[in-house]
Amino acid sequence: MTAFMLRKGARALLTVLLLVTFAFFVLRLTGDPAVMLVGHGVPAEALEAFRARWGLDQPLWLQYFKYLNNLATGDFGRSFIGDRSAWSVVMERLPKTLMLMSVTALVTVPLGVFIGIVTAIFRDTWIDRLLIGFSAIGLSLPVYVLGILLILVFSVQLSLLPSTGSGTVWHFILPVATMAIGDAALFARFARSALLDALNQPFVITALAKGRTRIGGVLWHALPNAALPLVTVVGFYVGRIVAGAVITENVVAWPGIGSLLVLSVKNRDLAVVETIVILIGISMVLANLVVDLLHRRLDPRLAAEGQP
Amino acid sequence: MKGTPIVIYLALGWMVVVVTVALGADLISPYDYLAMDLRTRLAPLAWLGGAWLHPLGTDELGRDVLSRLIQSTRTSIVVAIIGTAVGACLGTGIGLAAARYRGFVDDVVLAAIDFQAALPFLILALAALAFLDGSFVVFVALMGVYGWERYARIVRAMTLSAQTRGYAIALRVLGASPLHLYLRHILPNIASAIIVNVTLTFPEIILLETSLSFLGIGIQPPATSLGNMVGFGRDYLMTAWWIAVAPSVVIFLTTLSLSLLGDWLRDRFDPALRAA
Repeated sequence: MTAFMLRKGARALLTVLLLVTFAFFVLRLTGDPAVMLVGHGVPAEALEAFRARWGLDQPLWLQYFKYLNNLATGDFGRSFIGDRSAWSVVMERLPKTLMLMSVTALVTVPLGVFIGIVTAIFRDTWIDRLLIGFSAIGLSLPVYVLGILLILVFSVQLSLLPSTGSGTVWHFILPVATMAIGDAALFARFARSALLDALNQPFVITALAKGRTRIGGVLWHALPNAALPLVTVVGFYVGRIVAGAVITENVVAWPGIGSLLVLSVKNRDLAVVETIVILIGISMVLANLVVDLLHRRLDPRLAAEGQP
Repeated sequence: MKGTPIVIYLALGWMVVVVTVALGADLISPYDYLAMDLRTRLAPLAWLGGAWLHPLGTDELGRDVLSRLIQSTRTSIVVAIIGTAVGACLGTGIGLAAARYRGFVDDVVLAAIDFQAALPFLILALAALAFLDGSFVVFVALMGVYGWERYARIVRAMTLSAQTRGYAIALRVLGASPLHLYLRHILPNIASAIIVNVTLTFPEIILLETSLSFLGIGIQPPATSLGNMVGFGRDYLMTAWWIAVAPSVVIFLTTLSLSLLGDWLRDRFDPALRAA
């Protein structure tokens, strides 16, 4: 177990280092930030002064090591706009995004798994077909299209819900619904196929033959065995919810890091974009690490075989 | 074919329409998609009191929504086709190289696959576009990078197993060059897995491109894509909802059709892959 954790931890660290390096080199090499920010046709002295001010005149490798050193000490650079530390600009916005994502996850996962259980119990009946049909529709609606349609119906036509901002509980309904519908459909499909796979296992067939009802078979025998593939989807879901939040925040003007990211991309605010990308990358790496550990917890066979 | 559900025919029919529109955009477009007519701004749909001159109404600059929709469909479909083709070739090439050379090349490829999987592509694309110029070529190239890691992973794994099969060993003993072996014999044997991945990637690239364009970071005006039509239409939901709804409907029907067709194709032609 310790060797496994060490190996996984080392790989996670390597991925984070790659990410940080990527953020630095690709983002720094693809353009001259001084020209982009100060603009073309500016006197060369002004550009030089700008470069000196932000340390852009030093050799790239020196900039890189300074950058790594700064990151290690928690300094993510300064936002070009307003001359504030990028870290504080991002941290100011982070709670709103975390709130939105956690509420969404708390709605999405139980709803999706519940629909999956219902469709597995009533397999090949009209309930199953109806719900599967809905999930196909939910999966085909891109987040931003769904968001626009929900705003159109519930804010513009019915005047029931606010379409922008984040002040009250009511403000959560539209963005959460926007993100939850498609992903709940995804979970429903996954849960259904994982449950149906588990139902075909000999031990479940035996239980059914001994007189367990189908509902009991699904809930008591198939569900614990379907937990393993479902945990895998949770790791994958973290990526989806992050991308979904970035788009949704822009649809409903939610003041989180998603709208900050898009704004910073448009303003070419290097430090803020880098900070957000690194934060997302580290969260993803951690999520995958947790999924790996959970896997071994849930299925001791993996640990026994020494498989990753 | 016998037993083919009716929705598959409908989905196929819709895709034929979309591709025809994309190919013949200039021929069937009633107006130039950039032509402005400030006297008829925000005209409603024809059957909601508008004129049949503009069946789907006009936008805030008096541009014909139907013509813009046709042009946008072309942009989104063409970008997705190029992106898918580039991604398939790139990922397949990398996967073959990893399987052929093993060792250091393989390690680098595996690390890169891990890295790519660690970050949602949308975020990566946003970050890259912050620092690249917003030209069409750069954007399409970025779409071409999408999904390479899945092709690479599948092709690498399948090539590694194909290399040990009798036919591959026989060819090698007979003195076939590696290029001949990989491109003429192994590639056709693993083609079905690649094609299945293409059916998954194509709708995802449409989603990626339209999402970025919706955010205002993809296709830049005056060019238009289904995504940035929705994005600009967002500001007119109160007064002219059709600007956003028309492209939304096209996107929805297209992604729905593609996912239905993709599932059907996968079930039908690749039972082995589903079992794996």
